Amino acid sequence: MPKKVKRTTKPPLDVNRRKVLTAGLAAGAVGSGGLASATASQPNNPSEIEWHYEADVVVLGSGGVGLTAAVRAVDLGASVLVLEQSFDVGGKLSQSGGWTSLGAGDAIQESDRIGADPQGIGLVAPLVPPEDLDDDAETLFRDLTDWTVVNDAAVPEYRYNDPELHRGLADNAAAVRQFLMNNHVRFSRITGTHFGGGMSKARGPWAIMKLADVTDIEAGTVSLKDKGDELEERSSQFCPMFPPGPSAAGISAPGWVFGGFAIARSLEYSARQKGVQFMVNRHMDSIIRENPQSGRVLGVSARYTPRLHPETGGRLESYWSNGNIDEKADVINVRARKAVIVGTGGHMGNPQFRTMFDPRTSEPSIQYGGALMGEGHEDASGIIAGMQVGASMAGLMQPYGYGLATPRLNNRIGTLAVTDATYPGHPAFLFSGSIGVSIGPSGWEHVIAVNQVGKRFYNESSIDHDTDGYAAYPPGSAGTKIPFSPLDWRNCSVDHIRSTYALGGAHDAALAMNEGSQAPDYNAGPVWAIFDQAAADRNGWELRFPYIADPPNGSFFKANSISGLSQMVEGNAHQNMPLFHLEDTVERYNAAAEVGIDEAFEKPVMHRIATAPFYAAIIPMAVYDSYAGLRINGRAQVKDMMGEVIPGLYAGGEASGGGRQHGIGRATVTGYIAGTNAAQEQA
Amino acid sequence: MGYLNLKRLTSWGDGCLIGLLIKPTRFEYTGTRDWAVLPLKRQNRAGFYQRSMKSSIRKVWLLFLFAVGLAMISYPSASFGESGDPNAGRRLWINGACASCHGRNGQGGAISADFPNGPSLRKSLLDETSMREVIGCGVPGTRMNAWLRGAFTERTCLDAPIGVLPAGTVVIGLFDSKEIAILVDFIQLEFVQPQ
Repeated sequence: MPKKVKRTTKPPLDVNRRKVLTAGLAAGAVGSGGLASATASQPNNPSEIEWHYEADVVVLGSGGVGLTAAVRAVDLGASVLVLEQSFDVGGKLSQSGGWTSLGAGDAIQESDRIGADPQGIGLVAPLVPPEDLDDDAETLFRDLTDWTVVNDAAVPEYRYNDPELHRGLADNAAAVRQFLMNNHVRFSRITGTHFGGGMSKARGPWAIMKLADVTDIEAGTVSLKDKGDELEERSSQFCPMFPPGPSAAGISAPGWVFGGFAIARSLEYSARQKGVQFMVNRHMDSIIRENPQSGRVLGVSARYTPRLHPETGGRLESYWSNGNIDEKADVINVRARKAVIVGTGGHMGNPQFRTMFDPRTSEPSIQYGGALMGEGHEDASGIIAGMQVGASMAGLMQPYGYGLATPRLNNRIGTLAVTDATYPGHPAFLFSGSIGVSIGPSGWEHVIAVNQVGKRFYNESSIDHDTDGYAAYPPGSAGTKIPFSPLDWRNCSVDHIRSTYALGGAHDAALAMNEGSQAPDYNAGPVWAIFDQAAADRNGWELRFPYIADPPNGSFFKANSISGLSQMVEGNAHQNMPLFHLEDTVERYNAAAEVGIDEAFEKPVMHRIATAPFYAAIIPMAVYDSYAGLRINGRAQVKDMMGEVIPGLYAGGEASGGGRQHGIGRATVTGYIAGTNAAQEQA
Repeated sequence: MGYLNLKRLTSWGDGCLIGLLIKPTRFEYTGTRDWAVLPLKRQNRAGFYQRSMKSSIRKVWLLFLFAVGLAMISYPSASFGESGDPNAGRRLWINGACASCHGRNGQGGAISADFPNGPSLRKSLLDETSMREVIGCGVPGTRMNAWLRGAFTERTCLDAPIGVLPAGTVVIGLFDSKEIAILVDFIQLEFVQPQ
């Protein structure tokens, strides 16, 4: 029987900062923004701090790191409390595609290798050759640290991966696959390897659930109602993915659907069954350590952050509530008898922080996924709280040149939340307002892209070539071309790089300064796709709710004249002026289209923009991942500036740094390692 | 012909981040025809058949079409292909996750970075018959799988002898031939633009 989270004292409902501080929280100063620095120097005596709750292991965040760590720790006998700043559990994991690269001879690699289907899913024959599934920890480690691999932006993918950390990842990858399967997660055949998972072997199947009449996590089934229905353009809170739970037929599992929600909900279900407790609507603001820069980590201070329905004002609630602790006190202190695990995600929601690594991210209109998880999402709070108690950072170079960490123009236009779209029915839609209109790579031919002053800035038809190809299995797919052999210097030779190089510059042009801003507030402003009714008709673009917002939310405008359109865009929160030059831009473009020569940007095919009504749809400039965070060792322990372990503090996923592995593999393995070691700490 | 140039074939060099199902080095296409690039090179239909099929093969192909026709008549309607359901085609489109690679409006391009950018169906020059073949039998060497139940193993596909799976082919087999016909009708009606 797992131990329960203990409520120690009843926190007052009107706790304010002063009361908390006088209660003895010297090193855990709490600010409304969560970023107040530790100022006191006297040590904290755990017995003198007013703890409102205590558990063996306190997990911060409920995404790929948090859920894995929580289940693992409770499996090992620890009591576990998960703090989640949003209203529901799952984090970024729940809206991801669910492609899960692990490897090192994991259970799915093995069953695919022999052509078996031990889970009885009804899979088609394996999709990759058996020799590419013959994997072990040594091979995975070699792959994860292979210095010769470069992507097609000529950036080395693995050269700076921290060896100790990646040894830990390689040694635990196979165990994590089994762990996920033990907790009701089903997988498709392996289709390749996700970004950053190594070149030489196939390691990534997709998390799937079977479409059935009822949702039954243990049986691996999900109902159409819970999954959401694309035909009816309806989402469910169960699945915050777009489109909701796509068919897995094309990836080997006819009758099944795929998505990160399949992992998130399965782990959450298992966690609740096993006695993990959750406190949603609760944002960790600071980590409490014995001394500001030394001693054990004792716990955390956390603030009540309910997310309210924008129309009714009612509090949004989690999908499941068994195991929830509904604590409404403003600020509480939670003691961690064994350890705190930081799984708070990255830093793309914090412009001040993110610009340390990429100055282009100073542009305030960059989208990073706030509709699903709220403003407290990926605000670097876990990283900052760690730094405030002495942690160092790692992987500061990892974002450089990496597409997933770079702001990119997206070809689903007219939405304020391109990375976390849902249909109506999921609460995230209340905040995004629209899904956006997918114009696809071919759509750029039919629009012009203009900056905040209404000028074109790039060959629109090249915008979709703007993402670099990640070096991934199988060689030849992207990023590195055949022949490839591990650790071979020719993988990064001049000839290879020349033949592969394919970087586009549209995002840099879009983020360049223009006449629309001046010192000290330089910013490029939003970028807009301008097109006419003829373009929409040619392409079948659905310019209607829920693809565009109704009522309008500043992401899409329609007018009968270009001049009218240029005025209307000021309805966007980040657009502070009309598109001054738009009429002139369209006139020039139409003239160029007439003769078929675009002298300004060499766009190969153009169509006149002449048939009213005219449209302006925001082109989302979005960024996905963070690749710099708390320095952790192979046991997921956070290290300080002196290279020493901070006792009782663990981290994983995007809150940690040291590698360039994307996605669920990185999150779940670091979470698993952290949960394993945290549970075994001395209380 | 050497290895298939996947980058050109699927124009997914910029966005193809999913693992391909095949390795170009490993699955060499050994045939002499160029049909694999057909859906993407926009060859005209007459040219396709003249260039790509020898007469004997054409006979086999006609037989196949005949079999498809028979199947359409004799196969029991499946769960998705109920006549009278105005959404039958769109259901099949969704159930096959076609939009993952061909875009929501058939405009081409993947729905996310995890999928290859498939060709535009709006600009497709394939007629119904050719499109049924491409969907049913796939495009070996690309991520376009064979969606016809029993393709290659129980039913003649392309010019391959029964039981022989061309290199780089994955048979999903989700649809029967009637469903594929409904799906093709849907694609032609909803997406394909007159050229």
